[in-house]
Amino acid sequence: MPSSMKSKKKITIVREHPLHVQVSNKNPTGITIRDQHQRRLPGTSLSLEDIKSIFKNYNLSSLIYPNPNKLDFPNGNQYDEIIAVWTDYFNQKFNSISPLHPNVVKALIASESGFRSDPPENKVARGITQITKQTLKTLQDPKGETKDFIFYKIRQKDLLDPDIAIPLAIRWLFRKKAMAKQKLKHEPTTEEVILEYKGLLKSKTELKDKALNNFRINYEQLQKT
Amino acid sequence: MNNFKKHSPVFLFIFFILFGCSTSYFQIIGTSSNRVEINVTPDRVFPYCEPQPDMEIKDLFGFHILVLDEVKTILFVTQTNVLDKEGCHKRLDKIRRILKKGSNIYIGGMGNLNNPRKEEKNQYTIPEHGTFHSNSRMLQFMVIANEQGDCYSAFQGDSKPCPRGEFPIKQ
Repeated sequence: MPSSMKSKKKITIVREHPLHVQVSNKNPTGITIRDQHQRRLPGTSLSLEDIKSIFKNYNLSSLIYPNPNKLDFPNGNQYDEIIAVWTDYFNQKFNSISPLHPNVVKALIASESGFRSDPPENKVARGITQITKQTLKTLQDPKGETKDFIFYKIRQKDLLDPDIAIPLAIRWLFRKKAMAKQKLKHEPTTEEVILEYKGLLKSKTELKDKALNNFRINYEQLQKT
Repeated sequence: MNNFKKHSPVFLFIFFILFGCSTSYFQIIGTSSNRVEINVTPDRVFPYCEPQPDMEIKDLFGFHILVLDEVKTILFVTQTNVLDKEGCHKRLDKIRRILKKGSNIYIGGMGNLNNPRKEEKNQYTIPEHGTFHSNSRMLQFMVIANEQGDCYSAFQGDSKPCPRGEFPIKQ
């Protein structure tokens, strides 16, 4: 995360103000006084509806798409546009010095779910990008580690929709990149970011080696023009 | 006939060499750019759940199938996303049953086996054969089945049809 992003104000204080409400015995005038409260500034959060609307209206010209190589998965190219749009969106949002390439996201999805929107055989994580319950909670916590850009009103069952799961995963990848940098004390490589996404960066297990090997094979194929 | 009786131990020995030893096999039966199909006898296959102690969430596991190949090195067939404890052990039980009931095991994995084998320092034990080095190759686990029709898919479990999607390569 660039330091300039940290200094930007994401939340503002709204002073006590009158608010129109439905006329009732309690509020016969239809006006009540709302106490001072916090409000997130526009552009620092997304709801389910925002996600759908942004994708529908996104300017597709000059987008970078992932390589249209299916990697031999029947649905391998089905989500290329979603990947392209949201990678571009978050690259712009976080103004990253080394922008994320959509091929990274595509190779990650291949290893997480084989491009299945609802792999049912895993209770710990859901959907095409295998987001855990804990990650979903973190991504929606206005005081948590992703407070500079959060989602809201996303339910676990929404993760079964790739239109929702993919933008959440890409935002999470940006967070994981920052986390990996903190842990490693250097700018992380793509592979290190992927390991951090999978929770395996500091691991010494076979799974770490094999998952990385698998990502590398897919990513190399996608990087071939 | 007398001749056969006289030499029966020799015939039995030859029969054992020809068929007894050849009952254990590993064979690549199909490939495409990013898929591999293997036929193997169950004695060469060893599935296991690997604990992931360094992860922030507790009780997560990796799932691997060790396969002893034709030159006696270990090929890893690995589920590349992490699993919960219950999910991993459930699939382990089901796959053990497939191995127990079958004599010809079909394994489908994503990846390729084009790279030359490199003997790694890690060694793994296949109970019926011994301890062997891994060969640096790996496949992403997708499906395992036996000739009885028992089948387990990495992402769909044992729901039918199985295999489906990526496998079999030639439908």
